[in-house]
Amino acid sequence: MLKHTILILGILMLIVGVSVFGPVPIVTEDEALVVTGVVESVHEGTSFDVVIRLVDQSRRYYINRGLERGLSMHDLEDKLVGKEAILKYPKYWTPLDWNGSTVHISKVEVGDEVIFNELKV
Amino acid sequence: MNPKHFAVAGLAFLVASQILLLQGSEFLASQRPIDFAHTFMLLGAALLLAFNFIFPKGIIDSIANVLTALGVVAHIGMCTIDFVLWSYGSDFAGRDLLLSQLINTPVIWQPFMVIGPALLYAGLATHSWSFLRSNPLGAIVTLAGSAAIGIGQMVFHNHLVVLIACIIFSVGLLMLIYVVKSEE
Repeated sequence: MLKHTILILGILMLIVGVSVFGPVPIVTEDEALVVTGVVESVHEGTSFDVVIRLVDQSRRYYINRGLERGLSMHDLEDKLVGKEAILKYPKYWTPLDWNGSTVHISKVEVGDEVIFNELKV
Repeated sequence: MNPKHFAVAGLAFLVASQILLLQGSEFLASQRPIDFAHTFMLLGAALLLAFNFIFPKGIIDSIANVLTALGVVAHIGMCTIDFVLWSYGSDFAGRDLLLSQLINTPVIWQPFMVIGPALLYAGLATHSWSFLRSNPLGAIVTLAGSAAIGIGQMVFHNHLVVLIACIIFSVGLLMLIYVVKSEE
């Protein structure tokens, strides 16, 4: 009985683990979801991530390892804070963030300028 | 030297590395002559393997031992990658090229940068399940700390949360070591 319980728990943990840590899909521009808003703040997250918050939105948007990919906090603050930005992101769900409060950004645009882009061509 | 001493030293190095990581990317990039944050993390992870020799043997602990060992291996791989990235200094173009290559190679990125390192915390937290009856407080503190590390890292993206969670996690594990000691 104990062995079966542990086996079932192990399989459940594996399924949860795969869904928690599954890679964020890299999508094309057409497949990406879009949100537009005025940037309230930009700050450094964990693992060199860049975290962006939009005015009147509780969601956090982050650029994975952004600070290791040539982005600088000073530049981003200058270019983004107080400006209307277009953020594009893949449709993606993980149990750790069941209500989608943290969103992986694939592209950031301000006006005609592309600040960051990892969308599939 | 008692394995418990290695384990305590491992926790100290782990917390020290999290304190350094909290200082931000500019500080991390400017560390000289070595990347202290990831060196401490590497030493911490390697020393935390001592937990596999401290806790009593059972089915749960056997699973925890495997997870912890895999987590340590992944931490060694992750720190190695981070040492290479640190060596680029202000060459952002070169680092971006390497990072993009790694991110686009899931067989490296997933086991060494995403899933693998989390197994260390999962493994150590799994050990604590054996103590739910004998030391419920220590077990719950450890489990809560490990869950908070994941949430701080993946949901809040806030290093202060991760540091506090790491301290809670370490306190929980120390409480578990203390119980084993008292039973001897």
